[in-house]
Amino acid sequence: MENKEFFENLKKIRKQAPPELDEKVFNALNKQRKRLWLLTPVFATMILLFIFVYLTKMTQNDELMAVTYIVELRQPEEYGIYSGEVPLDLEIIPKSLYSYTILENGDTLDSGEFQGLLQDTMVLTTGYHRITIKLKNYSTGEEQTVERVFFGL
Amino acid sequence: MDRDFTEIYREYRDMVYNYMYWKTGSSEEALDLTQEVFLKIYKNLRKFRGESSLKTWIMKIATNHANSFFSRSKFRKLLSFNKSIEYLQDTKNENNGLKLEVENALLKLRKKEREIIVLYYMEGFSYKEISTLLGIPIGTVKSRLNRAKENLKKILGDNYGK
Repeated sequence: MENKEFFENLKKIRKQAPPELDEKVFNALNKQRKRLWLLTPVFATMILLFIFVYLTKMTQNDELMAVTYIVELRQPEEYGIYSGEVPLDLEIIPKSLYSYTILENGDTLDSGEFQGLLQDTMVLTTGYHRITIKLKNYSTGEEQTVERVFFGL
Repeated sequence: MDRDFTEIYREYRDMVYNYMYWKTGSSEEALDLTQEVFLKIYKNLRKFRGESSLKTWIMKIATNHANSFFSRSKFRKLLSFNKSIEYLQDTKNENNGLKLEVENALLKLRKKEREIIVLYYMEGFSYKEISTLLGIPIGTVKSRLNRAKENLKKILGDNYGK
């Protein structure tokens, strides 16, 4: 046998895939297909729908939840009349992160952010003080204005 | 797509299995690796752009997969080779003696040399295709093939050419 012929005859020892390979491959493919199904557009739409419904429900719950704004000047008042530098408290229930701007008779006094309880001070001179607190809830984007009137001595 | 895949599988399963068998020297490893290669083919069939022949594309996936298998575990490679030699000894009576001698001689070749013999003589890839598959210049393909043939002759000794 010549060299060339010998090497060409190597094909005779070429291995044939055993029959169990078919079963192995197609079983693995079926598993793969099941996994791929999870990524199909239908499934993705279902997930998006679920998230949408969940978020909508949460938002609706937030709207239904009562928000209480408590604004008070921490100094004993005498007939609603205050004097000098007095602490100002604003408590919002339930707690959330807010940005705030305090205005006195339309002029900005202070601004910043707080969570749940805002503590500030202000000087009340003689006369009428219209205190406006503009609030923005960071998580819901909701804006709210709280206004109180105090008299200074 | 599924029908296409089935046709491709039926046409190339022996090619991939044979390559994996000689690459690992183990029918068990070859079975697992061939299955993994066809899963890869199934996942990536859409990406086949026809830049090479389908046969070369499939074999490229197989060679890459085999290389990553060997880089994953050298221990497994040694284990599978021992198993293979045992297997050949166990089945000695069932096979033609000369055929077995050639198989044993092939298994004794260096992995790279055996690989090139399998690709060129058993699977019929051209020098150029082998160069693409293995990422080596055509000149290296030719010289490696000649070296592999010489070594196979040496191993076979008197049995060579019979």
